[in-house]
Amino acid sequence: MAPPKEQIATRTHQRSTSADWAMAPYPVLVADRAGAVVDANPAAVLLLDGAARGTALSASAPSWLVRAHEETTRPSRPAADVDRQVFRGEIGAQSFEAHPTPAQDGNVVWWLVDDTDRRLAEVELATERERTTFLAEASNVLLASLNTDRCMQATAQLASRHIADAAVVIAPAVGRNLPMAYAVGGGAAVRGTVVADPDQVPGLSEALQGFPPVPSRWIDPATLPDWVLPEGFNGPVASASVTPLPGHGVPAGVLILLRSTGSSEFSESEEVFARLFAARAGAALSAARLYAEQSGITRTLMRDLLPPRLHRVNGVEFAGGYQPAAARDRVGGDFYDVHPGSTPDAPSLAVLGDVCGKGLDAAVLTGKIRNTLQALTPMADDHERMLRLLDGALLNSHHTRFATLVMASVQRTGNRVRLRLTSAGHPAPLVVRNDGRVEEIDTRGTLVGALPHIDARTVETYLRPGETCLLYTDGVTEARGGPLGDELFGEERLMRALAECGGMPGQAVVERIQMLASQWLHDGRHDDMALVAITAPQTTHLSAVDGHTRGRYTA
Amino acid sequence: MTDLHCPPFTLTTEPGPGTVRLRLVGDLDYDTSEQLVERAHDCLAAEPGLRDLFLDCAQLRLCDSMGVSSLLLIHRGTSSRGVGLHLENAPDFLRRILDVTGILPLFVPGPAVGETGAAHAQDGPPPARHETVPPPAPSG
Repeated sequence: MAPPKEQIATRTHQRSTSADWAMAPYPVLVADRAGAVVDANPAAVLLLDGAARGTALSASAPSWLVRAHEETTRPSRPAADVDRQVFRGEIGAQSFEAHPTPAQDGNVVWWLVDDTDRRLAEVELATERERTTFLAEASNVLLASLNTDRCMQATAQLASRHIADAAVVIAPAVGRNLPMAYAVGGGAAVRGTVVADPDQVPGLSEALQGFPPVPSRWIDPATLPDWVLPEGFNGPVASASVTPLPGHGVPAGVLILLRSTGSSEFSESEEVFARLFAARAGAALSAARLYAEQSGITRTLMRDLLPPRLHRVNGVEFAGGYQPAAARDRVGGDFYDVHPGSTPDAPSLAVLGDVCGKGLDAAVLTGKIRNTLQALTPMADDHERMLRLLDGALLNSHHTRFATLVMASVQRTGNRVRLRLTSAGHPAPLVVRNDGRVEEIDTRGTLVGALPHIDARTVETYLRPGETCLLYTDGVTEARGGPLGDELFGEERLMRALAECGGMPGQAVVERIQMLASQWLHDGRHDDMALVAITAPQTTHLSAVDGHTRGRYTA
Repeated sequence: MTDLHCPPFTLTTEPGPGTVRLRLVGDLDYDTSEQLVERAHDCLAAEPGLRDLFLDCAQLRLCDSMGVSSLLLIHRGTSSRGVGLHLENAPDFLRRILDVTGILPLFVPGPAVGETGAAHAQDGPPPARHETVPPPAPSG
């Protein structure tokens, strides 16, 4: 033992001074092959309490360092290899890297480098990265669906996989039912409904109200009612939290996180993380809920506002065609209706119109006009009066949204059809005669809904069997396309097309005009296009044609 | 789509004595009609002595139903103040739309009362009113 010790002392003395040892910022320790401490600088003595010369390394150093020394001093080990190896372990509360350098006589110098802070930072960084990845994934998964059920399930599943052992998502009550979704251990989420009082869970009612915002809170697991505990969640609950899912001004729901006794409790950073996740889930859930509400409204409007299917009424053929401007605006600004006469002999009222603007505003105005006109049908013998009443009902002090429309009172008389037509600022109706002539009916009037006084002139005409009167909106004549792509379909082209439709059934006329307009457009964008054909049926016998109306003599 | 060098709609204002002329260039539609209404109402509010509001439509390319609605709203503003609303150089398509919708009579036909100067005699001496008008006056 003695000679090597002396040698080391001599060598260190030769290379530097022992003062350097003392000054070294790192603990440095020299041990011999047999595992005895040969030398230790003050930093090492301080760190390894009792690391005195001559004592066994194992007496003061932790076991990992002792094992590292044994491995390093194994005789078979090439010296070059030793230099590169780094050992890691803990001494007390700190973490160290131990770098061995071999000395000539088989002794090993151990340089101990404190890397506690770095290790902590690395762990934190890794956790942070993992969470960021998770949050990004969560956003992707959550926002991929605008379906509230799927969104709730995704929230429960993600939370039970990454944040807690089990997660329960509870949505605001629907009547007395609480919609919920739960998942255990990242497994598939189960969607269900419970009839329960949210007051049974502390903080749940407040969080479900959404406003004022409440922070997430810890609750005593013992107070949890059974209906909150998901199926498949084993063992008692060690910790539970109620976290509101913040929506866009509407309560999106609540996330209940559960951890069993086997897992650690929620740390502070995990709480922050849970809140970040809750914010994303809440945004996704409320977006899904708003979307569901909006699409519900649109569906309701569409059901009410889509033009009806037309058919034969009191011995007169009616056919309608409607092409909305774009699929997403299913509720457009064009409309038509046929209100059958109260008796088979009474005139029916057909209305076709175009409301200015688009979207919900136009849809609401369309609904108003159609309802008002339907209510006014008893006075359909005076179109002008009806239009004045409609105008008065629509007039509004803060905007000038208007509608143009054309009204047709339609009455079968013998084999002919009597028409009284009135335009209120609308393109004039066209009539195709049996000889192929197309007449523009000379009715004129003011648009309705924007001016306190309106005028209208009603014109009367008759249709013989096979003749058709066409009501249309300007979406047809203003269809832009053609060989050059920028030409209007135009009224003349429409009249020429109609001239070829003499004697055709009403439905065929509508379809032909629609087809020609579509061909003209190619795939171009267009405004709403609405068409109504009123046709005197081709009949040469008693016209109990549909079996419902009473038979009449026709030419 | 819209040519970048050619904005969809531009408006220029030319004040004159007792008159304002708005030059409409481009498409008057759903997206741009509000701009015209605001400008017209600003003109009406800024000049209590206004007699005539001109809309120069020589370079108007398109006017949809919202454009018509904006003209109606401007008319509501001018008629309640006794201001004459004039359409100048209305292209055929615009004239046709106004004709079909039955609102052509809302616009004052022919040259402006304020511009010919003939009608001023009945309303007392015009200079008093002209004092409120900014100096650059293209005509009399």
